[in-house]
Amino acid sequence: MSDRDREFSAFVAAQMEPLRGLAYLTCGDWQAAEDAVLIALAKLYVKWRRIDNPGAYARTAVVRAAIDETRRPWWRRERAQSNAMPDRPNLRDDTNAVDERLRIRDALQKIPARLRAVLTLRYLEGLSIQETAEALGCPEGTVKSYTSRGLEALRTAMGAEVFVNRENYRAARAV
Amino acid sequence: MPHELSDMLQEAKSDAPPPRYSVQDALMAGRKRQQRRRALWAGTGSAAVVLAVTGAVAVPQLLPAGNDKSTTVNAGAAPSKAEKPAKVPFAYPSTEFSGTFTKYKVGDLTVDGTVLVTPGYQVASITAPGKGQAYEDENGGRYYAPNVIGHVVTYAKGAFDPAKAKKDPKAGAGWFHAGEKKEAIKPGIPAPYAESTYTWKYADDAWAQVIVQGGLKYPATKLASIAEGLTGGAEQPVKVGIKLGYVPSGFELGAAGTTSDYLGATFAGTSYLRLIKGDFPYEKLTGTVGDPFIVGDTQLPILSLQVYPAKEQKYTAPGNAPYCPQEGLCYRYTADKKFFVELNGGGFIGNSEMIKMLKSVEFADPTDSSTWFAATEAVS
Repeated sequence: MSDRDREFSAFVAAQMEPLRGLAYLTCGDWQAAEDAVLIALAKLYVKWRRIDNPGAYARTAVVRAAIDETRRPWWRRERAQSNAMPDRPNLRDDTNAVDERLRIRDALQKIPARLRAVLTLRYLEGLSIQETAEALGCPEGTVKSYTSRGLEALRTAMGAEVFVNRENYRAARAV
Repeated sequence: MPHELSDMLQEAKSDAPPPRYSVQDALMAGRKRQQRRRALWAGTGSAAVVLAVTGAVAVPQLLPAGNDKSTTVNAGAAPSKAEKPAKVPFAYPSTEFSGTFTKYKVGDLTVDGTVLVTPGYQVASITAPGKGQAYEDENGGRYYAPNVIGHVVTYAKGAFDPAKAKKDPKAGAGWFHAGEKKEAIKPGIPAPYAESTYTWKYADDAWAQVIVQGGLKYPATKLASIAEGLTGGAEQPVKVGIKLGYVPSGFELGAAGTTSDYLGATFAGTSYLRLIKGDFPYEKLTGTVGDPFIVGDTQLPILSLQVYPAKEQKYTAPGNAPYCPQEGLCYRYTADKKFFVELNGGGFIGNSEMIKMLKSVEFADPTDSSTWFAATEAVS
């Protein structure tokens, strides 16, 4: 195995799981998410020696690939089929954590992929507006707009309070 | 119950199923992609000069013209002269899917014949002495790609947007854009250079570029000498090693050659066909287009077929019959199983339709290009 292969393998071993999660939150399907991650990592491998920040590159590539996954014809075809099986049984149980997870997941699925991607990059990955704009290849104004629209859509879908940061949360809880 | 969005997002992905892909799968996917691209590196274990070519994909908006680290300068008034006999003026092909490149040498560099033709441009590869990217076959044996260090691209009349190339016009026949030196990824490996281009007008409203990228810095004079050496050749139809007896409705020939749109260095016997449903607008280009099917926010349906040597195959073959190891990706081997054709359906047609296409494939002898089919005849 070449040095590059060793470095790349070490990177993948460390980053595969968080990238998988990022892709999943963007596209809402574990299988598509994993395909997106594999596509992104293949691109990263080719550019491995030319990239200063493999983590940032991979993150960007994964989100873009995950958005692309939702645009693929097979995606639309499969999503349109009523007999498509969900990733997980869509059942509520008595465990609050599982119930809450399903509720959040359902809410996320109700907002467009690109808005989901903005929210994920900003509030899961902690990217700035500028970094998010660079990652998605869009103007900063679009990121601001998508953030606002995404949060509003999520609030509506959740039917509950959604706070974008700890300060916001504390302020809302302050009495 | 989490109320902070970051906690909610963490929660939403907290019950991930077991991963389907391993680190090894990612590594294999990367190697496979690398084989298809122009990203070439010399073997790193050698004390020889490391020469690399990277990034064939030049989506117009991603060209490096806006990079502050790069410089745009006059190509120089005195480019070194290429060794050339009486020069025949270069002319763009008069018919689609034909090439007019002829092989020529500039110092130790060789500009090979046409490797790809699209309705918007034709491409020739530039090869340097030495070995290119090293690969390992399934048995651990090492083999090397040709040492392609760049390409010469001639654009169809009106297809190229010279605005960026002319942004800082000065005296001289063309404009040189020096790719900046990148950060070295690790000690001991020379830092590569980003894409350097030499752009010139070869006919009225018709432009050409010499594009190099890799571990060596090529001065403007070197690129200008490659441009100066461009010589007209007899117009030849681009040929490929397969012929399709069946093409799904609406798909037409979109590109053909011995390498794909990503301009990867290829091995002997390789050829490529891209079919597309709809017209890609070859206009205002500033470089070759790696994904000439994405138009704005939409993607034109495409199908790609590429003939590879068997050593590049990842999947085991059950025989000579077409087979699809996964959705949207099908294969068929030649009778002697030394080559195979890969059909990528992109999700636009089903596997059964892909199998039908592959069953209709007629192979030429991949090792004898005189048996190959003209691309326009290969897609009927």
